Amino acid sequence: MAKITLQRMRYSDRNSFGSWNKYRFGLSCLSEAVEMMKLKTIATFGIGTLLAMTGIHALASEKLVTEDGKVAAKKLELDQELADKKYETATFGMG
Amino acid sequence: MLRTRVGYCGGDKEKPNYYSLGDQTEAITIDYDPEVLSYDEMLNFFWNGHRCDQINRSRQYMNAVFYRNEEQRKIGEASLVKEAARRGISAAEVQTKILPMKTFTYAEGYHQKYYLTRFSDVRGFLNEAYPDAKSLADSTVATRLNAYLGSGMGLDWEIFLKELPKYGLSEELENLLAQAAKRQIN
Repeated sequence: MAKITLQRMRYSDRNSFGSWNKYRFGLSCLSEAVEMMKLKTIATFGIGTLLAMTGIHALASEKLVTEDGKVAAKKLELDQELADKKYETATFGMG
Repeated sequence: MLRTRVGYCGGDKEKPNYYSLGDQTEAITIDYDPEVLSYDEMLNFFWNGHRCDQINRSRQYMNAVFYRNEEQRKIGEASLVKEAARRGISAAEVQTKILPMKTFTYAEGYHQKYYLTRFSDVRGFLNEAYPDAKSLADSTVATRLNAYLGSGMGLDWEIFLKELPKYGLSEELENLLAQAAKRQIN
């Protein structure tokens, strides 16, 4: 059902000439069913976008590995030489 | 010093990453030759590298010694007391924590050997040799190049020139680095 509304403006509203608006005329020609459809569309689009972004982020993010005590770098000459050398490890957080 | 890596440790959150750290802390691990350096000496470098009376900003950015075993815990706690005395403060005023490391997760590849990102020739070569974060982080060659090139050219370039042929780089890259080092020396 279409309806025409006449609403009193809040005092903070000004028109484009800088003077106070006294009234605002609003044309509401959407039925409640149409408004519900519009809400559903917005909600579906919003949730869909969120899921897509989460999915893209998950696909793009690198899979991180944990320390296993093995040295993985063995291709370059110096790395090959030192890969099996006995070592100890210190770990620090550096603020 | 054999290798350095950056990553996350000290917390319980599983599979942390840069955008979701939970209770983990950003940390560095340093592999060293125990015949050349002791853990105590490593701790001296650490204490001299930060102000231990400074309040930690957050769990993510925290000054901490992460011990891996009981021996490291004892040495770490003793070094904290020693450092407090050296600075003329009580041990209770030291904000730097001594905590168990738990699990160390390697940080993303783009965080490893960060200074090398400014040197695309070097980074490109290393990325081809070591395409994943773990192998790049585990590379002594990458660690040394990162230290030399990231030092603001402040290290001993004559030592660098001596060890450069042992790295196993391409001839072109080796020449490029040798020329850069010679320019620093002259």
